[in-house]
Amino acid sequence: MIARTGGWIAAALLALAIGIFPYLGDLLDTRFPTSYELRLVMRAMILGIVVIGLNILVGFAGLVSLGQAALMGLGAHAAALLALRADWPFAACLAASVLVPALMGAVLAFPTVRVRALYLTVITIAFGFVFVNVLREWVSFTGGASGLASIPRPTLFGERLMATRAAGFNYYYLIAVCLMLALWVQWALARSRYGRAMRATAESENAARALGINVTATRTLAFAISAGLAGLGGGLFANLALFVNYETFTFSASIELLLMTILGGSGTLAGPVVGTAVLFAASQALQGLQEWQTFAYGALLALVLFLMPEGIVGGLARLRAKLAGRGAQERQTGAWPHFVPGFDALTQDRDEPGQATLITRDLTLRFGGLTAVNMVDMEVRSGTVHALIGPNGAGKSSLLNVVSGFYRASAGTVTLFGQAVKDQPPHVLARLGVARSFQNTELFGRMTVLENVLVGCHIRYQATLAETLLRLPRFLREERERLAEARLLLEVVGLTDFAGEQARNLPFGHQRRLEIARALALRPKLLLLDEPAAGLTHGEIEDLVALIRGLAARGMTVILVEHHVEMIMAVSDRVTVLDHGEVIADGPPEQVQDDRAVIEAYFGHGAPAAQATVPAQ
Amino acid sequence: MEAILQYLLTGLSVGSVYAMVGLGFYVMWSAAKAVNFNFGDIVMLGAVLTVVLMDVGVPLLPACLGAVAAAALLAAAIERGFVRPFNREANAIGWMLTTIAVGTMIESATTALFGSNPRRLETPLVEAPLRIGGSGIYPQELLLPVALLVVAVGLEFFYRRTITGRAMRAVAYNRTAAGLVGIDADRMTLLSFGLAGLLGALSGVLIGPVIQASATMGAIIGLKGFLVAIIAGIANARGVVIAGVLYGVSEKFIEAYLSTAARDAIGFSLMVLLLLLFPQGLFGKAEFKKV
Amino acid sequence: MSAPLLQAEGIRVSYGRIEAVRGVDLHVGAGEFVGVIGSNGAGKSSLMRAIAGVLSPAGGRVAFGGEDTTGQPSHRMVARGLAMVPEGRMIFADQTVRENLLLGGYSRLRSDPQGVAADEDRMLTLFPRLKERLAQEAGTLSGGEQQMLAIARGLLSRPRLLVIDELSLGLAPVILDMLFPVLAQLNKEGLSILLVEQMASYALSVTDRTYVMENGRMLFDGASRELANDPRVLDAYLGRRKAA
Repeated sequence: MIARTGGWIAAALLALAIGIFPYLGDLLDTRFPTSYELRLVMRAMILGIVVIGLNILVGFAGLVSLGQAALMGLGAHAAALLALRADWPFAACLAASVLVPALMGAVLAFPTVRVRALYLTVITIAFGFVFVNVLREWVSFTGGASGLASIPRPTLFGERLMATRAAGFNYYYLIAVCLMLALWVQWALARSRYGRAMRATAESENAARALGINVTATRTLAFAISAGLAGLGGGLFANLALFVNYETFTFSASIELLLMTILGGSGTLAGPVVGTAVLFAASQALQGLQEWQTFAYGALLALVLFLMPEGIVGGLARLRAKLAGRGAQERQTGAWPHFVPGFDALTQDRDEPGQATLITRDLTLRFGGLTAVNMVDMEVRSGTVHALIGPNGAGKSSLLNVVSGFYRASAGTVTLFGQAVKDQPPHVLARLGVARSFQNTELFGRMTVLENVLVGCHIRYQATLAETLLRLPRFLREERERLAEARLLLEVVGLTDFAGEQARNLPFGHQRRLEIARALALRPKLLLLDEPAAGLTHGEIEDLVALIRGLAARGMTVILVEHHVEMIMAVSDRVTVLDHGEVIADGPPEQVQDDRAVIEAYFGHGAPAAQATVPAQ
Repeated sequence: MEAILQYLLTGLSVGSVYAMVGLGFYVMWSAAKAVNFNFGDIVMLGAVLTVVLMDVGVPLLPACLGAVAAAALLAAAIERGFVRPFNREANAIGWMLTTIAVGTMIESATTALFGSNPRRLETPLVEAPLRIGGSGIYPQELLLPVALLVVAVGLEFFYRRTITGRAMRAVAYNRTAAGLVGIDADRMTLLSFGLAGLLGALSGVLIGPVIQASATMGAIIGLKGFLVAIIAGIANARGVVIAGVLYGVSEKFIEAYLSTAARDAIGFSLMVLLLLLFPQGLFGKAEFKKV
Repeated sequence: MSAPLLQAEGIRVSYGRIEAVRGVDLHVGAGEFVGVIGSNGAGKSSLMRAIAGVLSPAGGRVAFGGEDTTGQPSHRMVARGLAMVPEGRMIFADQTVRENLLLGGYSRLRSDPQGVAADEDRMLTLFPRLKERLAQEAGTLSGGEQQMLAIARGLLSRPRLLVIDELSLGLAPVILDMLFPVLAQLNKEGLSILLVEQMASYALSVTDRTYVMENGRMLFDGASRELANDPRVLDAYLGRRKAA
């Protein structure tokens, strides 16, 4: 809460400072902001806009662009060329300076982020080089080294925009408004499903996909927004300088932008402003270094990465958390499962009772020469708990991964809720109603407990990006509803007191609870749990059993991969046993427990006469 | 006809450099699943240090050897100081930023110390061009494909026939298993970056006489080498060689029939397009992502 | 009695916040054949990884050959004479069978090439099926052959202690009937072996002494011959509790 109001106060102070600055001389009775200083501040604000864009990319989506200066240049040239050659009005030019780079960003991102996030970085460097090259060589269009001069002075609503006293510093204030808008966009994104999805993909791609997030689309969107803001900075720059050429938008300018982002603290909301201000001021001082200036940027970047990878704002936040942590009160862990009144409403999406929720036929999965899953026929009835067991390497998790879309089956069919779904990616299956947990709990570690659950609600938002950024009623209503749901789910798993804690700081048992709460936020019809009991204590396992039974009683279908035999016997309605990728037994737990083939698969042949030593339960 | 032959030869020559640099990326990626992002600077240092050594009176060949050795050592040092500490977790990107930082430092320091003007790197092979029909080509340029062949065969031999090479492949395949047979995986990674540095610096020395030595010469070569490696599928050495040569040749034809400005724009768009069609690269196998 | 060859005390292993091994003691005497059994997920593999230096234990102490080796990386442990055949075999699938064997002798390939060659021949007598496949890429071998190769590769460093993690993983009983006698023979020739095995009946039939693990803890240990008929073992596997 303090951080929130603190943020608003900081933003208000920033706006006030920027607003007063041109008239500072009148207040102090000096000739302080001369047109030179005014210009510097305007350039810093423009860089701030670009860095905010880069922060959305680096800090939220975990991607790195080294062509950000070129995208800024693209915006600048789009605005300049349209004004010069097509006589477009200023407002239209500025719009183009946002849209053209945003589109370019999408085109660059889409093919690259599918494989490795790293490839985007390489492509952005390449884009930067090509951009500068084309500007330099295509003299007839871009003016080459002499650039595009005498861009007409911008006018808006008939007013000529200038940073002079006579014009009321109107261009200065326009830039300031744009900076505030960029900050708004950053804030509005961060506190919405879009920003949460971006951060989720950066933290754990797999978990994000399992929650219905289209990773490629999310990353592409992040880069498009980032490029759009870079372009806006470029458009404002072109209309400030009234001259553009390629020299402003080189690779080393991109490095400088990246340095500002990291120095300020990537992923923080105030980081871009702080980083830009600090480095911009420092760079004015460093200009005496001439050719060593770039060296200093490199050295500074390395230094920041080694000594304070979280940047200035991130470092301060950590320090404050440490100081605050000393006096913090004990958090109460609630008992779970706590089926609170509203919970039934959250689990009402279910497959019709008695239906076959999942059917696999001849399902086969091969990796190279190895057959992990071999001709598996399985049927899971709705509202039942179905356990999948077998010795190490039997293919249980592989099967689960095929059913949830993470692995593509080599042969056979999968039918979910009566629909053939073979080869559908995980995020599509999630939208159909399949949720899952992971063997090695894949939480979004740097997001809060509450945010983790909210990511689980991702697919149940309808508000568009525009509605979200403008905070229109539909967004506000949805956000309120999801927030209430998320809190309710935290209550169900007894983590209410931990809502504001970063997920990575939770004790392990709590992490498991959170992962299940997050999966439930999807309102799944089918819940897949991959070794949910691993690492839990006996007491925790009993709670888990109660939860799973409670879910099944509400009509949810649960498939469970588990080693913990005791738990399987307690919780499941039916058990399928795999060995060497094949089904070797299938039936009610008591029957499977005494199946000779099962005991041998676990124990080896020549196992002690099981029936003789241990009476069947 | 002769013109086409010339484009082919010069394309082959520049493509050989891309291929060698691409191989450097392949070697680094195999060992560490990380690379020196500013690997082009190692290429540049190969050429620039040769010029510097010749300035102080060292004869050509020892100067080349000294420059390559120094650049390779630096490449290994970058692994130790800037990649390893930032590559502890899977999918870490810290090494990307730190190698960019160190690359920026190297390039700007070189600009400051060496000067921003390109310098000639004199070898006997650039004194007089050979005449092929109406146009000429330097013997130095013809040396490049030969060098690529030697490097590729040598690398193959190293990886397949020597103990250290096999140990490096073992590390690339499975670090844990390599450790369990007594291989120091960290040391092999360090050596791999050194080896990559060797390839990069060598290609710099060889292309230096053709394009002149300068502080900025490495950036574009390094970038294209990286792109070539990505397009080929970064884990496939043969693919990298083929893609490098093909890229060099197509560049020369675009340059000849369109323009120099169009060359990089088209070449680059082609790369993006190829990546769109073949996400795993032309010769890469679909990666198995463990869940 | 002199200090045991391997002595592990209070070993704890965590992955992030998961505690896989929660303070476990274990020792192996020179020439002993010791088994560790337990259902999967019991923490056996994590314990072995901590002993062999694949990961650093979060707590506890490992001593090998009388020296403290806690936290030593695996390649140093190999040089000290502790080799591990990892779970899932982890052979170098892209190299030939011969190259895999050579890499097994990596730690002494330079100092003792003849010795490695001689041992290689010995391995081929021990596992004749590998002989026919020497020039083949190891990835083309069957699961059983890969396990043979993994064992042979481990032996080529001439270890004093061979740790085998999940010998039976994914192997058919026919293969296991062939592999276990080989281990027994190696042990008879003086090699100390620490065998982690889920297939308890196999482990109990060849080892001298066996530890039973469950949920990251040692449940009990004893002479394998006695444990073979102990109903507690099966209970630990199938989760049946008398007093449940």
